[in-house]
Amino acid sequence: MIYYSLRRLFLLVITLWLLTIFIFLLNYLFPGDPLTNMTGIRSGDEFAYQIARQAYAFDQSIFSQYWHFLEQLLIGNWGQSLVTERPVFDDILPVLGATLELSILAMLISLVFGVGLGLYASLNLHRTADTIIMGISLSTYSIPVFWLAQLLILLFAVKLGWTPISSQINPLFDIEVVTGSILTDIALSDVPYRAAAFADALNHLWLPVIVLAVMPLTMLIRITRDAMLDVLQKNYIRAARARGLSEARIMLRHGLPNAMQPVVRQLGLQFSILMSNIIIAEMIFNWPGIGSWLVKSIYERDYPVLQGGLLTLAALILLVNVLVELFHAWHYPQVRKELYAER
Amino acid sequence: MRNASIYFQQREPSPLRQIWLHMNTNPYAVAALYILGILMVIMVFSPLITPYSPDQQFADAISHPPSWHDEGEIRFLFGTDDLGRDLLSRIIAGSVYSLGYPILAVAIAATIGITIGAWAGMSSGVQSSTLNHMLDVILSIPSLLMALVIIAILGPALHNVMIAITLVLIPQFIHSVHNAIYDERYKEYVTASRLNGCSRWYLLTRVIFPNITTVVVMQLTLALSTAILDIAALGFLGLGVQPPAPEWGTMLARSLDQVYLSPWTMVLPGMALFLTILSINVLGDSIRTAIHERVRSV
Repeated sequence: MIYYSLRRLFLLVITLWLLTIFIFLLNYLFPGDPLTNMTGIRSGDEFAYQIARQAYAFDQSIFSQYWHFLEQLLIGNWGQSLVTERPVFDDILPVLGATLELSILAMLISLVFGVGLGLYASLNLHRTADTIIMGISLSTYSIPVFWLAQLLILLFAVKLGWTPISSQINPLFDIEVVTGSILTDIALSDVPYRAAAFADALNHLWLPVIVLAVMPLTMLIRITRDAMLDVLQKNYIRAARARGLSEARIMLRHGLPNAMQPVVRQLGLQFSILMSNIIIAEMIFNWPGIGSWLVKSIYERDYPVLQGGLLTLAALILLVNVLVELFHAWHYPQVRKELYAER
Repeated sequence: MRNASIYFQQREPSPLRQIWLHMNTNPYAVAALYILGILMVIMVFSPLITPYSPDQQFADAISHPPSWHDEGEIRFLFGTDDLGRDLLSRIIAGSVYSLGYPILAVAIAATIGITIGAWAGMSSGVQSSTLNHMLDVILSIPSLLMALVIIAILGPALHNVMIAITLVLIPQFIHSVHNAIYDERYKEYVTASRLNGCSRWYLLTRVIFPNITTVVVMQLTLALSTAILDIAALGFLGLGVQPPAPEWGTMLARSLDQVYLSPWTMVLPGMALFLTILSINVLGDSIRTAIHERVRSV
């Protein structure tokens, strides 16, 4: 396990390093002055530009430029936005918090309902319930997230008028942005109307969370069902039946834990899919998260923000993938044995 | 002369044919195949069958509801949008952007990706394992994010979207073909052919490739649905095909502010997109089940 963990972590570091090289090179590929793209300081600002030139060693070779770029990146100097002229690194934390809140909630919901429905479908194999669940999951899987969001907005916000459709909370509530995650922020703040703010935030939150949860949910249903069907063929299930255990006990103690193994392996992939959907969903719901921040920076050609957002989002996805893999190998020894046997 | 088949010979259908036979027993897969076929025909003949030009504006019929609505007119079967353009014509013409261009992108990406994947699968050692690790990493980054970055470099336009989508799809093909070849390479029938002295080229094209076609076909359907979704998503974000081109994602983005007044401008292009992706996914899904069954039965 230690060898495997070290190998994965080493690979992660290498990958992140390659990512920084890629992002460094992007500054040359974007239109305009590479130094301005990197730092957000325009050449019109003579004094600051000269200082940045020094700091990023732009009078030296490209390798030394990269070295200085990496150095600045590591100490948290990610340049400033070309539009707002605020430091990128300080802006990232709140938007990251907002995105994480959405993604974690969506992931949790899809995990709970996905595994539950998948289990239920596998127990009713080829009966009506199974057919309905699988049919719905395959068709909802094919709905593009932006259309699903629009349909649900049309239904819940326009026709039924249950929920507002934009941003995190009614702007009348004056909640200080600390982590970006609105529920945490309300809990941290000491305003008198905390309960009302909480209710309002939840009212804003549930629709985007459902929109985002649908895609991973449908995939998790399918994966759980297939895994469960595989497991139910195994000899140990037959043995458990022969020992006269109750059906519920066989399912919950012997079936489900083993069926979770392929599900866990897929979680990293599901997170990547969720992240690409989150970019679009945040634009539709005007959610102040990293996805809408990134897309806006593309509209505004705000390259320092773009590279900061790209680095954070890519690093987050890679990190989650590695963590899922590590957990998978740690929790399921048979996977680990396979990995070692491959060598 | 009569067919002189003296010996009884059991004919094993080829892997691709087995999949086809299996798919034929699944009514949903057959329906999906027909729908996709019809969509393709509509796409190919779209300039001929659109009732009006997709950009023609009817000043007398702005935001006209579809014909099954009480106020609808049969002149505009799907109604018109806020500029008085016939929605049916726009959806039909949009199939070129939303189905035709993804097919083109997938075809280019498949050609490049399969070539590199085959080469990598046939070679071994460091080169191959490094490639695999790199691909694992690249593939964990969502394709939409990669496409966004490429668009940020090149600028939003149709040909740039095509470049971005093609580039994004190539690693997926390399990965699946590489893995498929890698799995087959040490099987006994390949070793037998190698001992027979077949050249590497013969091994690849005649021995291994027929056995991985199903994987390639499945990857094709996956890539096609990714490409359609990504092009529509980029169009929706305003970073892809630029208006007034009737791309379905762009039409959806435009309908965002009219959804209260004329919901059909949102529902109908979305329906076209959904139907296309659904039929491709059902196809891919049944191919996957068929592969699964085949592996199980062996």
